[in-house]
Amino acid sequence: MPEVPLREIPTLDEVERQLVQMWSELAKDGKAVLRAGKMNLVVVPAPGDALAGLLEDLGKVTDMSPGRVLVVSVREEQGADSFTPWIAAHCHMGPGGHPVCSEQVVLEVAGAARERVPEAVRRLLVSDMPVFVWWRAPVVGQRLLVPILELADRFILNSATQEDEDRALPVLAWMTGHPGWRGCVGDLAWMRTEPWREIVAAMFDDPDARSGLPGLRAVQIDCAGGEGCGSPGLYLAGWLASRLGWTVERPDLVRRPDGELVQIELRPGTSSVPGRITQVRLHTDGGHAFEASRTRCEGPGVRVVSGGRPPSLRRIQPLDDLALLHGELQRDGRDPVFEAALRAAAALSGGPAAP
Amino acid sequence: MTAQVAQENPLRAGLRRERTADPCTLVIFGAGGDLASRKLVPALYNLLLDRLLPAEFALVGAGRRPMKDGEFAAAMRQAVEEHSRRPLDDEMWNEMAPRLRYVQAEYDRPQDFRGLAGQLEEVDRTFHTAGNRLFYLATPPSAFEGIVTGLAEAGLNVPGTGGKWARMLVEKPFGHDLASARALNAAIHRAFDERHIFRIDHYLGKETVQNLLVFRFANGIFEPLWNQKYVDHVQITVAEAIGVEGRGSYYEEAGLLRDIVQNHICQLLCLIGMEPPVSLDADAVRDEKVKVLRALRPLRPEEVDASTVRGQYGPGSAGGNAVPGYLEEKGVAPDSRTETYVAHRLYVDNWRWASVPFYLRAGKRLPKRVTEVALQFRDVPHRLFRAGPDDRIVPNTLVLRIQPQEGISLKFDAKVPGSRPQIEPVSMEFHYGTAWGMDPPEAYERLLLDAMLGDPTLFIRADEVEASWAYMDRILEGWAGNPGEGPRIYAAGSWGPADADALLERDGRAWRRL
Repeated sequence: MPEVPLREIPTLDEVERQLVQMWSELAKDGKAVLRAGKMNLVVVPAPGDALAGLLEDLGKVTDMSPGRVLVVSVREEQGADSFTPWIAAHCHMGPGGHPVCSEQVVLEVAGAARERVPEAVRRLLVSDMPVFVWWRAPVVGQRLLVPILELADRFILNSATQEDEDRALPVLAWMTGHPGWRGCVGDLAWMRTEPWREIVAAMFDDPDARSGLPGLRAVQIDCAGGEGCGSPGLYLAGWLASRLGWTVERPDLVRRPDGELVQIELRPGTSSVPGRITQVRLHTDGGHAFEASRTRCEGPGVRVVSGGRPPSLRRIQPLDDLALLHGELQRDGRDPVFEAALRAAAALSGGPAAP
Repeated sequence: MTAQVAQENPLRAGLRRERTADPCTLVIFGAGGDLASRKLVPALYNLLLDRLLPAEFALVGAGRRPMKDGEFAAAMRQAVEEHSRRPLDDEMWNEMAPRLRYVQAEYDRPQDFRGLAGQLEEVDRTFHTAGNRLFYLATPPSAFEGIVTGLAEAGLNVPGTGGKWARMLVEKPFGHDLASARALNAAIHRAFDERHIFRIDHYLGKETVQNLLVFRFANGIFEPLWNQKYVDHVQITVAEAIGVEGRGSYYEEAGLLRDIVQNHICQLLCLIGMEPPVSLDADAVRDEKVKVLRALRPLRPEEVDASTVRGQYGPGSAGGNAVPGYLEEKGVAPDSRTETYVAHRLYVDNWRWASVPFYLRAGKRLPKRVTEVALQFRDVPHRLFRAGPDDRIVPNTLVLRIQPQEGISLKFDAKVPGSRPQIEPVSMEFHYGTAWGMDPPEAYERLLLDAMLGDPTLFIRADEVEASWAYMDRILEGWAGNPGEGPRIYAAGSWGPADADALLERDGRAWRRL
């Protein structure tokens, strides 16, 4: 399998020429190599990310969604300014036994050179292809956040792994209304709640059960690890609130359209996976209970008991961040359901709304 | 493909799985057969994994063989282990297994259907399946009429208590000629309304076949070229490397024209040739498909030989191994004249396709498994670049590959770098596997789900079946009227009889080398 390891390029101007050279090298034995691309993926790593591991993971992502990857690695230490580009190619065996390769470009930046990052990224984007940004760094207090956001067609993060979770959702909600930006936001933590949303929605497909929805009076979501439920629990509660027209007056004061209060409780539980939802319980005015709970803490099965029906088992496919990212890379355009849930979740989190 | 959004449930909005099936019971007739174990039950299991089966679901297997519920469940578990695209998860199977029942039934014995009706009422009570029933005819066609009659006499052609629907899924072949297709349709219509009948051609469940509509009608660049002004001819190929694989006796009855051309190739032809539908509503799409079939230029019996080549594979090789000829296959008569290969030229006599030949070829024991549609465009009106000894100027070709390596390629000419004006064809390739890197669902998953959802878009309507048989009957009559001309023998592992090449050569064209 051809593969080009990371190599340093003297200047930014050289990058495109060196990429062309790299493709010639890949095909030098006369075998066809497919260069595949349908997107640009700009990645801003978290402070603790090891570059080698990250590039390997990104290779797995481009195996599924090929495109050019641009990693902006900002070194925080004080010292001389530096701006060093690197290039590499990641390949996998594609249809017909032909290697399929995607380009990886790393911009290693330190000091004041970080000011040049937005222009450098703009220059290296493949024309006429969507720009996805996978922001792994904290969203709070980052000078690069807004310039990089403005390049993005889709800005993706995982609020569940943000250090300052209370602020992450309000910042994301702020982004959705950022003036002049026509892109959209995606959150892996929201994606992770989709099976739960699907299971909860299915509880109310039956018309009899659905008649109880306006009278939902208590929501209890059990999560795992940490002090609270984190963004997945907030998203699930925010989704219910937005879909059912509830008003979040304060994190602890939520009203239904008929003015009655709804009790929302997010409870920490036990699991090795932060923010993993383990149980959802809903109660209606009529005394009906709807409950979905994992059969094992880490297992894929969720037992659903709704409206007095016999229990049924549903499956939640365990998905890692890369699989969720792949899902986000398939999405296009704004998702009004997500954005409404995000606004409600941000209000429930009670955090301040500035980046 | 009508999206039936469950608008009444506000929590469904925005979910990827907006379409949810009603509670229901699926009854498979022929539950002990290959189709049930290889395709249907694994498909149901994968729908369960994807949470696409309703929570209130049950499966009742019906067959002639006596079997207890537990034996049936064990056999289906083994089927999932062997044939599911995803591995069996014990916890999930244990959820499904208690929802499996088995009923022994002779398809011509009314009391067996009354027993089935009683079983279904009990299933409704136990699993809250709400009286909705989906009957799947996975039996030989000879049993179809008996089953339909039995269902009607037992009152099973209408929903059960509190139910909304009773539907019928019918597996091909839908008759063996126009008269039998009409008779079958009439028999089914006596019990079920057409809107509750879902005739399966599993090709329509394939992602790449569905993509034909997307490719044509979601891209502005191709549709303006998609007509007789720009298209020189169209080639549709369905090649199989395998032989009849133990189905010799079936093939003796059917032959390749009935097995592949009348259904799979006709469906591809319709999707390539149809006009844009006014909407993606099921009947709007099917109306346009049937218009293509009705526009096929009728063949006179004496024209059949000039436009058709039939072949039969002789001994040869497959995958480097020697393989027997068709006549040596089990269940095949030693003097059989059944065709295992067909090449045919047809015309769609309408405004869009006037004078554009469509060349169809399908065969067994060909060198490889390939299904594709290729549109070869007309040459430029004036050749500015003279073809020299080093030049290979070829017409542009757009290829839609259905299987394997699903994708689309466009061939065009380009200048070879250098001081000489040398020209070579190059190909722009799109591969599904490269662009998305994910396994598409099996065709039967999509089709079973659509039938549960009541969306008939990907199923064949009665008039489509009859229109395609009306055309095929002419070919069959032509062959029958010329008993001296049997199928041409071709070596297994070759691309069919030489006469098939001559069919195109006479028109100044050639089959694509695949």
